[in-house]
Amino acid sequence: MSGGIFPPTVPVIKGGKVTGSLKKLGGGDLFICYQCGSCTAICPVSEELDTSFRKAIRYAQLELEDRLLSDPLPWLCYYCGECTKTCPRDAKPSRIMDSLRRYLISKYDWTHVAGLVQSSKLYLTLANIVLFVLGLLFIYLIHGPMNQEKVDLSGFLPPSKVELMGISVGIVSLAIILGGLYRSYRFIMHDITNPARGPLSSLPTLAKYLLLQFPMNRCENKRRWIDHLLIFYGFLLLGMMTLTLFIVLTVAPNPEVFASLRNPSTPLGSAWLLLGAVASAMILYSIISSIVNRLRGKDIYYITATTHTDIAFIIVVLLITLTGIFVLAFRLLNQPILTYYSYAIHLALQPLLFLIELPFSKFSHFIYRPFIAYFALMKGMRIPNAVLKRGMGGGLL
Amino acid sequence: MSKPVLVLGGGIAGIQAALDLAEQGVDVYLVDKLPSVGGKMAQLDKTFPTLDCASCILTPKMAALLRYPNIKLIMCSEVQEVSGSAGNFLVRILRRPTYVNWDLCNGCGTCVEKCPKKVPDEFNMGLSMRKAIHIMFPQAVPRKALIDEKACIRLNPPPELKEKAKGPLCGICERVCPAKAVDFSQKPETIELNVAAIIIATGMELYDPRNIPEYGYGKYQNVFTHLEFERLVSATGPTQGEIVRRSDGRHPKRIAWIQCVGSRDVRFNSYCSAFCCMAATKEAILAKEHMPDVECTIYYMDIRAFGKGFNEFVNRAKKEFGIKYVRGKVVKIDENPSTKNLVVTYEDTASSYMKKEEHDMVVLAVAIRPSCPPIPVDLTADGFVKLRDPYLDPVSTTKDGIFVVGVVAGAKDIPDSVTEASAAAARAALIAKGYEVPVAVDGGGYLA
Repeated sequence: MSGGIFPPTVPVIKGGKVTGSLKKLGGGDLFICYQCGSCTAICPVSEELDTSFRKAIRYAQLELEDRLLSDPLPWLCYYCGECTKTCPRDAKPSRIMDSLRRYLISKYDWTHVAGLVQSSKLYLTLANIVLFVLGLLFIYLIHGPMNQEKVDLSGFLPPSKVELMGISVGIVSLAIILGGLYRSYRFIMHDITNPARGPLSSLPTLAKYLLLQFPMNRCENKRRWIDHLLIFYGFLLLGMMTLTLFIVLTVAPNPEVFASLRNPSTPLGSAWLLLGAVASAMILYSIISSIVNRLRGKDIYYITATTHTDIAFIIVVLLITLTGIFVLAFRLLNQPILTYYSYAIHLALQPLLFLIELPFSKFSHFIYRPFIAYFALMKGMRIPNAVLKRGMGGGLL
Repeated sequence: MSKPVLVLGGGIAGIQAALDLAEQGVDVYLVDKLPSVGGKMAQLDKTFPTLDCASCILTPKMAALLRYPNIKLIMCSEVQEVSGSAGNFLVRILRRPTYVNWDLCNGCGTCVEKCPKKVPDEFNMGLSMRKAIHIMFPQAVPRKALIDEKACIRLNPPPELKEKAKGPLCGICERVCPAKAVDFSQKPETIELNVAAIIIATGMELYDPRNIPEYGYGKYQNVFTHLEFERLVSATGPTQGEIVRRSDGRHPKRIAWIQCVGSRDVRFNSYCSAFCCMAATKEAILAKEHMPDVECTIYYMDIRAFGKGFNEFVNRAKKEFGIKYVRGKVVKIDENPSTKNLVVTYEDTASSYMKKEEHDMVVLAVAIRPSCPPIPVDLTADGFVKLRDPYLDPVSTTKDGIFVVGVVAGAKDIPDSVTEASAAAARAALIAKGYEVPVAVDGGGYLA
């Protein structure tokens, strides 16, 4: 009986260590949950596996930090929103799962920067702006003559210096994310002396989670799965292309090949251009699709849980892709000045992706998710899309 | 001199209030929309936590109503309008025609036997058929026949028959009635009453489980509601107490009870319906008593066994009867199209695994909805009648002289409803008697 003296259901948010952080990360409805298990039962990813999402919420409610850290559950959730539609308490479990994932990212990160950018709009915005300005400054300091007659990118910014910038950014980024991965491995395996499964036999699952973005294909909305595949392969393609340039320039210098790659009139150059265009289109499509989905609010998850990290990621990737396309377009149209400016902005944006998004924010999930699934499998947990050996029940944590 | 009191609703709460008032010498009008008193309790087989026969408790009280010269039953009637204030309420009541003169009808049932038209029987939750002219149930009080005007061939002739017919159709009941009680000329009538106080005891209706399509009620034949199961398991029910499936009439081997169907769920009703945990426990025990080899599973989120002897009852169900309690909300029911068995999906929160389990029959603990009459009292957001003070004045509404008892004030079980009825009767009697409080010994105070 409600009304009058009995207030309707009011969540009690205590300022505990875990719940306090989760509240900051947008998981404020944690205590509304009365542990009925509807979320687990309705989840399209869930089977008779170690996929009790309810359990993760329980751990958080009880401040069981160790259990949360050793549990890969938030990484098996794809936020389709079925649970939020079904939740009898309107606790928005997909949103809690999202906050848990971001909580884990901040815990995995050994530099403790992730916690700041994940929970604060201000810090994330500031970090992005400062890094962008620093990038521009760096480019201003190193840039060479701007040839007004025809586009000369190698003259404007010597490839060796761009490479230096790229390598240093890459090394820092890799150090942070690999450190995070190592820590996540330690958290998950901390109570395991004998892994239930070897790293080699678990590799197929890693591949499925990374290359096929499984088990997201089980979710109702297949479009999000396609978007994930597109953006993943778009970035993979661009990464391979960058690697090729690096090899041709530095590892095994071959100026002829480099020149023909840069020249669209040669067959190699036009193929290279096409490859770049396809990769950009894949990323652009995926990003625009995600924006449209969010604006339309088609997915209940999008209505409830677009956070500042999502928005920042969308903006950064969109800007990088667009400036990349501009560089190509202006170069083909022979607009030297516009090309240089686009190129400078395009390069100055890269650190945002590799020094903020990848190690600390939204982009990190593409690395963490498959690897944590991989670790969980080695631990002996039963997760979706993994071929399980007989008698290897994961059971309770 | 005392003024009469109006009791709205002839369920167990209304009956108790009427009897208590009458006992105190107050005149009572007892109004019910149905042709018999008894309410929902009349449809139950047994009561918890003692497994006493519900009819054996209820029927003597129903019969007692007729023995008091100061109780007037006004059946098939609903309140239309209430005006006035405490001590002087004017109530307008609309009485539907029964098409049988109840002064003459002696409840012999000849007409029922001969009536050619069959329709689903509401008292048996549509699990059996009744005639267009019918007596609500064998123990009905008053035991009088009435005609369902929608079903009756004479009163509502089917178009194809109406065209061919020259005169009035059918009329068999009128011919066979030995008391000449059938009267097709009855019209709705308005009754005006002047009463001192009103006790609202209109009880509840069931929430329509079709609003929760995941459970497939109405689509899957072997999904039942609590009240349907009560009728099935009752010796006076459509199957004389045989628990059978709707699809093939066979005895189920595995029955599941699903709790909180539309209750404790912000999408439907956020309140707890209070008695379903115990009702499911009772029904599972009854199923075991009827068919000892049946497997009974109760899917619950919390067992709310708060009353005296309730927890012991649940423990007895587990230990003595082997009834399985599984903690987890069932999110959906799927039907096996060939066997018509039902697969429930849930998370077993004790082991933290999502599971699917097959059952032959599923019983839904459907939420209750208060059925409030059109009376100017405040309601809560949930639609229950608002109490003036839930602690110190728990039977008073926000309007003086109008009291509320039973489920329409908030979900509760039979004993609590009866307790409230007696309390409200005492309060209403004070108003009815015009506060004729006897002068206290020596003017009150304390003995020095």
